[in-house]
Amino acid sequence: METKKIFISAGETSGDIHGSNLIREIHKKNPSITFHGLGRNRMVEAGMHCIHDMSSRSVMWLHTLKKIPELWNIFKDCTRFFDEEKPELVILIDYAGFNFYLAKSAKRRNIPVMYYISPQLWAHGSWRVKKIRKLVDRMVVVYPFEEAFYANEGVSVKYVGHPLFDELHMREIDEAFVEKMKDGEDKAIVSLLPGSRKQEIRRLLPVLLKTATVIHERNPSVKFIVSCSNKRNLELIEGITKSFASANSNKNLPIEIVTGKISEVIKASSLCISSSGTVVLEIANYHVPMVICYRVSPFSYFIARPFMTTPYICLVNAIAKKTVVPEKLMYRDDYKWLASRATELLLDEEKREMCIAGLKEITSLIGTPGASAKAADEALSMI
Amino acid sequence: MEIPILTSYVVSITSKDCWIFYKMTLLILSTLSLPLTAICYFYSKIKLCIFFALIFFVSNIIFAHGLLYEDYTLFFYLLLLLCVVFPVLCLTAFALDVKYGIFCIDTSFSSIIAWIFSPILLPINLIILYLGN
Repeated sequence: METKKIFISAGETSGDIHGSNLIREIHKKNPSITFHGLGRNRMVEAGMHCIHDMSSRSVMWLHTLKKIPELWNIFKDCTRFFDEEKPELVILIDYAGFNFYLAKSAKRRNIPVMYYISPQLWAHGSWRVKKIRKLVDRMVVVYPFEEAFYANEGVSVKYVGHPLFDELHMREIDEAFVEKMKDGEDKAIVSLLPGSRKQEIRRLLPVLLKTATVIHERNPSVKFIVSCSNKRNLELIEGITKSFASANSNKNLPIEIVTGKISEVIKASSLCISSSGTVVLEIANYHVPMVICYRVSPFSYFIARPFMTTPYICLVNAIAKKTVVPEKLMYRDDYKWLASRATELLLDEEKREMCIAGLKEITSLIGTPGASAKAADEALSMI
Repeated sequence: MEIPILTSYVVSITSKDCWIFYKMTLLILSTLSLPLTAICYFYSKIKLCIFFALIFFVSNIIFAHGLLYEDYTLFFYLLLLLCVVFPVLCLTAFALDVKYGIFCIDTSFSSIIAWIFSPILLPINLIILYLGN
């Protein structure tokens, strides 16, 4: 039996996780298929032959410029692989900037292209759908509203659900750690989730800490947890928190930093104040009320404003098409606004219940596992 | 004999006044059109934005020409290349990409280039005008 080859490419950490689940699902259905491509440790563990490790290549904006020579070499190796090995299918996972080039290169060689987890064209830069129509044979999308968006533009599309819920379904919660964080007390816990990219953390964490100070002044019984997504960010988060504590008049602000264990942090919390991103779906999954924000420079806000085609920055609100959780795209430190919304959701039972009911409604819509298996079916149907 | 002297005196006064009026008009146009372009851009009023951007570019190019061309021709052309030709080319590429989806790269980056380089024209003109006075 001839082994079939699939080329797969993911640049971000989340792409690596979803890519690894997809590889496993395809292997379950057809163990003879081999995977080659770009990814990180999770995809390699799932059985991918790594052409290049993409760790530390997750960059945004001007930082991309520094990585151009590296990315060019990776691209050349991928095109060489297309020429020499002629894979049956190219699967691209998010990471739009680089993956568009791979799609173009594959298309030139008549290799079918499946794009799994769409770039958020419905939120900004919707004109890019024309490129997708040219370069991609099938879009496999993870949000229900994306299906209509692509279908209206004449792109072949399939909605499979969000693979994050597969991951959450498999993940085991460390209940002992949750109880340890709660410390047996009835104190409200507010967790601060400043994101996973260093740029985001630098911009957002100081605002979140100021917000925590205002909340603590109004409710001295509240305890705070700063969630650090991985060990690489721990030093940065500790540095910002320490310098904030030394500069701040409120020396008794009860803050604990927790590395990893994001599900446990969310589950232990009465409220999350988080940066906008996929993490909001994880918070929604545990039905924890949240306030969402994203901090950009005034210049970035000015530049990006005309390109934003959705009124929502938070996925939960975008899926619900209404404001379920308070959100704000900030170009200055609006910590008082954040503190007011957070205090409302902590103390006003009616608002809290409404928010939780909204989150339950959303998770009943999109929170079922099985996205990776459905995406695997789509991939196999293209070979 | 007095008539030509008087005429030349009148003409010189008139041309001087004209130049001041001309400079003031260009100064007002180029100073006002920039914030108007920015406001229209921010609120996605694209046609108005292009209209005010054209006023900004034209008035500033004429202004710079009057101030720089005779004595600093090379500097004038360099300024034109950096603050007009480069951003306009980038914006043209962006417009083509929006219309036909031709580039792999996200060309919305060109609006950042335009907003960094184009406004430089105005302060340079103002500085030269100030130094000239």
